[in-house]
Amino acid sequence: MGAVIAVKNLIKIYKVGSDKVVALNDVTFSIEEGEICCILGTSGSGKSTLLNMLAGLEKPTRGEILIDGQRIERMNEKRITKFRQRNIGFVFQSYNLLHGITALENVAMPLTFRGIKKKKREKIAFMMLAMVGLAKRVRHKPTQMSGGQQQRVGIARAFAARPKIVFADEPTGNLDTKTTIEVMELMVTLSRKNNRTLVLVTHDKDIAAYADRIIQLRDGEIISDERINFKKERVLS
Amino acid sequence: MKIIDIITTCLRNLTKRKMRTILTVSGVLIGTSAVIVMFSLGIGMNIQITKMLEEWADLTMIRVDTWRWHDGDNDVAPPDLTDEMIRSFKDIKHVRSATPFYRNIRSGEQVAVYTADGWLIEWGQFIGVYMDELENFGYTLKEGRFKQAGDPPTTVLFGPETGAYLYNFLDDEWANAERDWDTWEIISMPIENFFAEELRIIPLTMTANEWGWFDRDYSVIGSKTAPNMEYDEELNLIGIIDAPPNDWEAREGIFIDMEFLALMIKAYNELNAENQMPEFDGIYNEARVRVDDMNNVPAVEAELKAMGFNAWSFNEMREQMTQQVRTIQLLLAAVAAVSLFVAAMNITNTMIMAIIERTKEIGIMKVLGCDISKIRLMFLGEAAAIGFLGGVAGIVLSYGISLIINNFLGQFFMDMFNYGNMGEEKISLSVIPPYLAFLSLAGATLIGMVAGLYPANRSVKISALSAIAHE
Ligand SMILES: Nc1ncnc2c1ncn2[C@@H]1O[C@H](COP(=O)(O)OP(=O)(O)OP(=O)(O)O)[C@@H](O)[C@H]1O
Ligand SMILES: [Mg+2]
Repeated sequence: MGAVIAVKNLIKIYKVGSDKVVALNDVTFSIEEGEICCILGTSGSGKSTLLNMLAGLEKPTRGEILIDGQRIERMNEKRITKFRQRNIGFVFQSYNLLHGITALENVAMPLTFRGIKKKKREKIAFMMLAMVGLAKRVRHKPTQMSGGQQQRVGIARAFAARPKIVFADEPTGNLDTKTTIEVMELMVTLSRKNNRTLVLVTHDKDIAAYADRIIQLRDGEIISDERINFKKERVLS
Repeated sequence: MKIIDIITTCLRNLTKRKMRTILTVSGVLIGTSAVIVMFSLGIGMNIQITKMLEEWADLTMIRVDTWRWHDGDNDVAPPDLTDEMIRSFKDIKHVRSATPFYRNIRSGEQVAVYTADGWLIEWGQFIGVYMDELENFGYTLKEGRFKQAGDPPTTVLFGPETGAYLYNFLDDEWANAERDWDTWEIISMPIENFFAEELRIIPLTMTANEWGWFDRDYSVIGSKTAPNMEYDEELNLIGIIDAPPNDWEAREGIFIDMEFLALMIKAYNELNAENQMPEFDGIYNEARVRVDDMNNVPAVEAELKAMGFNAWSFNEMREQMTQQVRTIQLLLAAVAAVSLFVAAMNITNTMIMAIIERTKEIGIMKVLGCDISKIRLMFLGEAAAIGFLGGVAGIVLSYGISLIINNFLGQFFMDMFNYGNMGEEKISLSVIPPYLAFLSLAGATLIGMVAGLYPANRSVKISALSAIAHE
């Protein structure tokens, strides 16, 4: 299996007035296809910055980002959008569902952008929602659902377009422990079943335990990168 | 993303904020209908003007004459108006027909027409034309038919008012047509059916009175009671043509072939050595030209003038009146356009608000891989839809307003401007032709799109990252 994500000497410096904030300082690593990788670190360590750059939402100050062999930091906005549409799924901490439309339409949205016909995309969206246990909620609007349910819609949306990679930034940050377990298991199961690469950002060690590999960040630098070779049944209880 | 999905999104967003959409659409509605109604009034007025002039004058006819005049420095001497020249007029583009229109300028001497009972047609003057050209020239018939091959040279056509004034030289009495004093229309003629009469010609001399007017004191050459038998031709009346009120020469004329008229003048002069009529020498004093369409009249008129002739038509008058209407119309349309401009600003404002509201939504869509050009299209489409809906509503309202104007205000305005009674038919003061409706709809949609341009570009610039950054 080849590296689906390869990062080389990545540096991100924010300029705030005359001050410089080094968010990422010479980060190098690669992630294999199908890997479930967790980026762990305290607040302000640069986790989100890294993830956003991997997703092409932000440009690095220096360094290379190869996703599926393509230098995404060199792409213009049009191309990177197309690239994201084809290859990347997203799960957000605050769900980021569209409130005006139903769960089904939310899940179908990435498929809409790909130009898939209404009938087909709604069928896929329905299957995805059924898979996350929301078959009875397809016609509900996000505002009529609990946080956990909303995040499950978010997960269904992220996986709906069959992306190579799914990024998740603190996906359980707004959820209670029980729901956190449900959501994490769902994401991990979906990734494994479909051999998707999952990159997960969290500050929570317990959540990191779901991953095959943990990259730990501190002050924008990698301080540890360990692979967990044995599969754990359940870490949280 | 498919077009249908973009349209669905636009409509969903529009229906989500119903009140705001209705208000914005109303702005466009008012603007559009103001513009349409203003233009429709102008169009209606132009139609009325044309109709009015058409009833009163012949708008596709040009009169050509060869009067000499003085334009300040020079004598203007038009070229000779010969048969050859008149036939060459037909070669001018858009000219359908041309004929001489030869009249003996009213003087004491004339050849008159009388019936067997001694009724003399007063004022009815011979007009020398190409008889076989009259139908093609576009004169219509009230009765009878046009001249055909095989008809004798004595064949004549009357105008609708020929014979409205009669003098009986046997009984020395007069008979006039009965008229409606308001419209000047003839109610009954002194002789209802000229076709049943035996019509003959007679040479006359009238003596001018002290003011230069000719009295009805006819000296019939030969004898007053028995017209000169040497000059006795029976005329063959075959039809009565119609002509607009302005064409009075034709209305009371007696159309005859020029060749025969020339012979009649010659015979008159031979009988009457003292009082000679101007003899025809192959040069006409007037000709008439028929143009295929009212709108081509100016070009033909200009060409005739370039040839050196004096040319007259009612086109100039129509143009002047139309120009006046156009000026008023532009002024009104400018006022109406202001309301459309306000509507456009309103759309821009609404769209900016929509984008601010939907910043997060746009960010999410961008992150999920929505093409920025599609986001722009979505907002442009929404703005265009507002314009389109306003346009449709505006057209509907305009037709309604137009109906009200025509049904309740039309006659009022006509009375006000003293255009008089236009008969029983309804007056269309406001006319909305389909092209006006279509152009307005396209215009309203375009205005919506232009008004949405700035907000749409703004939506594209929204940073996906800051939009999704959790609050
Ligand atoms: N747009 C920005 N402008 C300036 N500084 C920024 C910007 N975004 C992030 N930073 C800085 O970069 C550093 C890393 O931020 P980042 O958001 O990646 O942290 P994080 O690890 O995701 O933290 P958290 O767990 O709180 O989300 C922080 O010091 C932050 O202040
Ligand atoms: Mg973060």
